[in-house]
Amino acid sequence: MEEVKQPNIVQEAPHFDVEKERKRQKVGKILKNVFVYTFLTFCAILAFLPFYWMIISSLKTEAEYRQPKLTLFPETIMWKNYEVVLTQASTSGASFAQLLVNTLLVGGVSTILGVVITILTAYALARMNFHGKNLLFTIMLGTMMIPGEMYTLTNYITATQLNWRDTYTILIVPFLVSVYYTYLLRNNFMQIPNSLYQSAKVDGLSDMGYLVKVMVPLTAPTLISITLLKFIGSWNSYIWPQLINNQRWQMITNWVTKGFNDNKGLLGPASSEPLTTLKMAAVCMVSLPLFILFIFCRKYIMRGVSKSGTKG
Amino acid sequence: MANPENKNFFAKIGEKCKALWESFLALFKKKEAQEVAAETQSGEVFVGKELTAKEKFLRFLKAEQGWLFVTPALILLAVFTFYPIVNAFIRAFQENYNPLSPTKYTGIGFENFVRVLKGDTGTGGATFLQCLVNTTIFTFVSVPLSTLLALLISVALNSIKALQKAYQTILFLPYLTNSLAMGAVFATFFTIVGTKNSTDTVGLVNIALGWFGIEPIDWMKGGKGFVWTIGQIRIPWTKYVVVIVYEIWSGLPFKILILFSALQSVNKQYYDAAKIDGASKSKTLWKITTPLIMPMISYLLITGIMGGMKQYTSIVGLFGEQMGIDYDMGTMVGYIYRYISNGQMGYAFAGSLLLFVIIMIFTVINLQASKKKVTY
Amino acid sequence: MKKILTKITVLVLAICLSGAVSLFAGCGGGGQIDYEHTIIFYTSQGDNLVSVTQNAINAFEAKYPGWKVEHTQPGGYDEVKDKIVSDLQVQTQPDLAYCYPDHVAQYLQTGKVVDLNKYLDSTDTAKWTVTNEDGTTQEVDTGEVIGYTEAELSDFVSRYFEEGIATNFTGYDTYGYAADAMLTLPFVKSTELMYYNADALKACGLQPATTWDELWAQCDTIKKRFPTATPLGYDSEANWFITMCEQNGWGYTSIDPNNHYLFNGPEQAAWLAELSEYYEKGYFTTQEDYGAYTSALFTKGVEDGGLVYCIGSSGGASHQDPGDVFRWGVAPVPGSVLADGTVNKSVISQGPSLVMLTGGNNVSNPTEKEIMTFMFIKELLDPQFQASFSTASGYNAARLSADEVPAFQEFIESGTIVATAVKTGLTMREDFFVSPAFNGSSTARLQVGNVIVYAMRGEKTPEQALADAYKNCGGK
Repeated sequence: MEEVKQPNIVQEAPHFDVEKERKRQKVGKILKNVFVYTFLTFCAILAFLPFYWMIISSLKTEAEYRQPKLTLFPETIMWKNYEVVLTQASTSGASFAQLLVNTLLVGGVSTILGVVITILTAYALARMNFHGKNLLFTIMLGTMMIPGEMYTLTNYITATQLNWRDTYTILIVPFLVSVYYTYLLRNNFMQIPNSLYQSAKVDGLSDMGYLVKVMVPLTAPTLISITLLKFIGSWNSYIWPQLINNQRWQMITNWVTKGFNDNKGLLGPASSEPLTTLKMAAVCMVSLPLFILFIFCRKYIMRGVSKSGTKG
Repeated sequence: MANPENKNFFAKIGEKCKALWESFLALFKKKEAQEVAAETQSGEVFVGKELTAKEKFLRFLKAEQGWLFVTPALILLAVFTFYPIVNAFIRAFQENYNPLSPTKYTGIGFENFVRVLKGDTGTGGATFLQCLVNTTIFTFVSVPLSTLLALLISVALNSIKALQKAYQTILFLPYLTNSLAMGAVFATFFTIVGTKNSTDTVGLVNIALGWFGIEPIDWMKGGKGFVWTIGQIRIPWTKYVVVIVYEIWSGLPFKILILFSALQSVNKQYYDAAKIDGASKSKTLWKITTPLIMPMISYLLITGIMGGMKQYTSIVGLFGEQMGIDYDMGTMVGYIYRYISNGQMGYAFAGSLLLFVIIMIFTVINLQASKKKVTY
Repeated sequence: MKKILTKITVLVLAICLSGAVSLFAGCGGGGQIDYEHTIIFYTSQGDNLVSVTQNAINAFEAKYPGWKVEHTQPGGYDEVKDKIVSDLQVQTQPDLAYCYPDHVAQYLQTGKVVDLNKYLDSTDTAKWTVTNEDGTTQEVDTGEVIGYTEAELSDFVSRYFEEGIATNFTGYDTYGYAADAMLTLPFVKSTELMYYNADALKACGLQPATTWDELWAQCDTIKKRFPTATPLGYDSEANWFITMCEQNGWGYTSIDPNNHYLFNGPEQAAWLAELSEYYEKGYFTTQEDYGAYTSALFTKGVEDGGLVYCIGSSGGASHQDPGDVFRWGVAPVPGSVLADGTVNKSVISQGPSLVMLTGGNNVSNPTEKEIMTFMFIKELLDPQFQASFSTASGYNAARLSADEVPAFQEFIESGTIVATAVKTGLTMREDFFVSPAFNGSSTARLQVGNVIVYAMRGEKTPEQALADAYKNCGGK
């Protein structure tokens, strides 16, 4: 039986392959492509939908947002929603605009100081020799394994005892040192050949001079990543300001959880009813800067994040 | 972790923990040693010549000037990181610690832990156990699902040529989001606005479900018939669905990024070999692609789970600062912060130590897995 | 691409730099406060009330030259408490602050709360010493008597006044206070009122309900006439529960440390079961259910799915004003018909009291400062000022004679919703009650509020909800 079948297959195979199989493959390929593209398109729509919804909702009137019939584009574009959000004020005299200023300020200062400290520390750990360096570095790495919530508690008490509550200082100082970024930059510094250091020494450059004139320019991409991630981290900080400061001294995300209303009557009769459209406008103001930053600086942000496995 | 080799893995954690820690240290010490060796080879060498005390001191200063560079960081770390860690271990065991009269704690012992675990803290809100269940379910449902979905998307993305870049860009967009802000957006998808007697809008999800003839559900509130109760643990499943959907959405881009670049880096030779062997497409996927990117998948699962166990802001974004009614959507981190705000610091410290232990377990698993990845 | 990146980096750095500059610029400003002669006063007042309070401050500063009042608003009531708790740990506590009883229960632990009895009936005159430039000291005697006369003391609304007595605060004795110590003085109080849509009631041919039975009986008629409207909105679930317990004598909490929590009873469960039924029928909504203050729903009008009755604080009267949408009315909260046929119309009374804290900012002469703080309290409790504050806020004054102030008389007849709310509040003085304060009383409040939410949505049976709340409060 098998001896008979064997030549049969050999004989028929080329005929079968060339004609039907090719056709079958072609149909299969088209089907596969249709399936794959449909799937990807569906996923892409779902990925983008929340952003789209956020933007159009922030530009709708509350009445349009609430009507049972869906509209995919605002009937009248309400830029005024943004104005109402920015002038929104609380009893403690804080306004949403104030929090925006706080966020930029705290973000700016903590980024600059943080990057400077990171550079100094990383350089010392990478290039300089001093007693106890290894021990220090090991302890620093060890702290990375401990969840931040454990420090927060004591820092809360410390901040109270230092009488630093309701200040910018307390939002900045505890987060200046990031062990992870120090580690990242140290590794980067160590990749720079030692011969450069030698020739710099011959040229009479001090450690500080070498750091500023050689190391920093050479590791610029990593430094940009660190700067961006630090800033994004500040921008997104919610827990600590919520815990430690009153509303006047909080950050922009702290207000997003609260309701926004039109109590000044800028959109219609004054009311304390929370309006979803206003909340979406606030959400846009928190999200879109990140979104734009991501589009332009994707490479740098991803470089930093993909290594840590956590987001900003 | 279904690998049969790992059957006794959890039993061995205790002994392996120490070994891992040592290898962890050795890894850095080795690099360090190489570095030091390189330095000394090329460094200045002082020969002969007796040094005066002043010179000796200057030399000491020069040798130790590294400390100058690390001082700012060291001071900050000492005050805001090292001290708090030590302090947390002490305070967690002080009973009835009250910041208003810090020296007047009533004793040292495990009472804080017992009360936290028994849910007997004298304040309402989700108990630690409820928070642990919430967090665990959110994490262990959303992380595998989003990893699987990310794998499917990455494979699909890898298999197309036209428009690949465009799809890639759109799918990466939610990568850098503010979890609080986007949580607020997701909340609107599920919220019914209005009263029982006059509904304004039922929310996007209910509208979509309406196309399939499903009656609107008040996802964000739950209510009669939407709560499962197991002993003291309540599972308002509609709210769980909201959290899980959001977690999957926000977790996807990072996972796609990792898996897609892993797929792209898989050597083409393997596929050519497979083609020659006449393996079918699906066979190629499961027999070649999957094993090759398995380390990446386990990495994603573990980091995803570790991140998930610490989630907090996404829930606040969805359900507000009260995390549902009376914190019923509370997470472990949320539990800790609630007790800080209450001023019941002892329970907050005990909770944070418990969280530390849980995170530690996953860290050990992570180290174990990354060790495997290296030897792969 | 590279160029864009460089630009962005420059931009980010520029933002950072400008941030840094403005931070340090911001730090420089602000004059130093002379704590020796400045009374620090924390409140949670909004902008409009801050300007009213400024009148009292001006009067005080004019009367006692050299003394100043620094009025700070850290935020809402909870923020004020949080700030004071953290201040107390570093001795920067204010001299005077808005307080709620359960906040004071917390401050007591530090022993910084001043027993006001020593000033309430003091016959001394207020004096202080100033140090001249040459180093000599000189005493300034204002001639003003510190304490109140008997007549003035009886001018306080007695129910409000009694709230400050130490026995209302558990643990007062462990922190060294006498049983009759006066820990707080009432400032202004709000009560709950029932605002109603007069047009809608008229259209249904109904009169404003005076008892709960009447109100529930009207719901069906209202729903038939206005299917999209909701008959009742009750803002505060917790107040509803506490009020019902008080009206029916069911028991809510007690001051007895061995038996704080009394709310876990069968009568409460039966009432909750009833509520759940009404909720299913769409008879009412609450703040948690609606997702906002129900006043926002009330002002919409019945045609747009609004409320017919809205029960909320008299302090929030201005938010209940629907403008031209419909005609409104204000009535007392419905009462409960008791077994003997009488109607109990008890209604909860809440609002800020004043607590004096001593030893803040390490002043050299705390007693002198306490006296001057007390003199400032007297300005705040002056009938004229109380009347003007009541006029602006809708809160009820703590002094009976505030009623007689001509401007106030004129105001309450002015017919605005705030005026009508104040006027209605005056008629309810005999029905006011306050719930006891102890460590844990605020937990009990939150828990009973949640009980209503759980029960009405049917997530828990009333019995289960009450039992869970009881357990959460630490009851065994």
